[in-house]
This record gives sequence, structure tokens and C-alpha cells, in this order.
Amino acid sequence: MSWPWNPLVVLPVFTLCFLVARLVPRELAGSSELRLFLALLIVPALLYLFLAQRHWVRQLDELQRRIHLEGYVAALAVILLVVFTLHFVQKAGFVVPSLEFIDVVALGYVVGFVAGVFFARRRYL
Amino acid sequence: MSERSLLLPKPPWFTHPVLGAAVLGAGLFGTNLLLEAVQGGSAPLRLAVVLVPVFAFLFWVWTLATWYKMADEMWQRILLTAWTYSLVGSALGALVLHYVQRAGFFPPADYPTLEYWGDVLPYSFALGFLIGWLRAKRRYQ
Repeated sequence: MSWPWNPLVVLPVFTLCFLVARLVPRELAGSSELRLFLALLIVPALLYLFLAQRHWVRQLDELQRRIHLEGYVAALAVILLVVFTLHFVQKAGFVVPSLEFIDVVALGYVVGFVAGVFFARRRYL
Repeated sequence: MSERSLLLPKPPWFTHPVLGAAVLGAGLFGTNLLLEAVQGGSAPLRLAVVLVPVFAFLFWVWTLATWYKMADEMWQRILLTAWTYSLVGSALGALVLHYVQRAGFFPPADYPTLEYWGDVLPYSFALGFLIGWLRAKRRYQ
């Protein structure tokens, strides 16, 4: 595997950009352009991560690829379900615990993906 | 490539994903209206209304899963690709919106992103699905 797609390069680069974007405070001194630039650092980082993931998936054989794609689809279903539910619970006037949307996406992604891969593996292997 | 594989699978009408999407759309739209109507109502009533889109969503997922299982190899691949694009589009949009808001830009900090995304997510999902669908179709057909 060539070095730009090596997980040992991809994951630290993504984590670094993620942390920089996350640590940008609203009150950061300096120009608004700088804040926007730092916040949008997540875009190239995410695109890099997605491209790397695509590269990794393409290295897999047909069956493993299907298992991974079904895992991603399960992650999508979990994210949508949780977001819709919390959205309407909040709209109905109930207090949703201090949960940021991004936490929902991250948690839903991990839980959904792991569950999807688990069930797909049980089905195909 | 057989003639059949060029066609969309034809599921029974009650498991058709278009029906599932229509039920979901009606559920989301109707719940918004219902929530305004029951504003100030009892907690169990409001909670019952909240469950409407959840069941509509589960029905929609069930129709999609049925459709996927009925599809042939090529269509399964197209659908998986399209859904993966939806996930990527939604996650990318969510993260960008989140960090732009954290940096003090749109949407305003007092506008909860959870509420915002409940309104926006269906469209980002649909757009991602459409792009993935078109790309996969061009690639496989």
C-alpha cells in the first residue's frame, strides 16, 4: 500500500485536523477568516479519510467489500433514526440531554457500522 | 448482461420503497403539524406523536431492505453504492455545519444543530443517494 493511503498516515492526519477544528473557540482572537479557515480544515481532512476508506475497501475481495458496504448502510440507518427521533423529541418540548449533533453522528456511525458488519458477517460467513 | 438485470426489481406494492418514502415524508410533515396542534398537551400525548415518524422511518427502512434483498447482484451493488454516498454526504455536511457553527458562523449558536439537521438531513440524504445512484448506474450499466 502506497504511503498516502497507509492508515498510519491517514488516521493521524485526520485526527490532527479534527482536533484543530474542534478546538477552535468562538472567541478566538484574530480575524474571522482565520476562524473559518480552521473550522473548514475538517473538509479536506474528511475527504482524505473518505478517499482512503474507498481505497481500503477496493483492496478487499468481493465478499468483504459487501460486508463493509452493508456496515456503512447500517450506520446511515442508525444515524437517521437517532437524529429524527431526537429532533422530534426536542420539538415536542422534551429536554434532550446536552448532546451535540456531532456526537450523535459519531456514535451512530461507530455503533451502526459495527452492528452492520457483525450481522453481515453472520449472514455471509 | 441479461435484460432483467437492467430493470429495477419490482417488489409487491406494499413493500415498494416509493410507498415507504411517501409514508416517511407524510410522517415527518404530519408530525410537524401535529406537534403544533398538541403544543401544551400532556406529555404522553406529545410522546405518542413523536413516535409516528419513528415508525414511518422503520417502515421505510423495511421496504428498502426488502427491495435490496429482492434485487439481483448488480442492483444490490448500485444500491449499496448509492447508500454509501448518502452516508458520506450526510456526515460531511454535518461536520462542516457543526464546525462552522462552532467558529461562530451560520447557523447562529442559539439554533440547536440537532433541530436544524432534523430539517436538513432528509435532503442531504436524498442528494447523496441521487449522486451515488447516478454514478453507480453509469459505472455498472
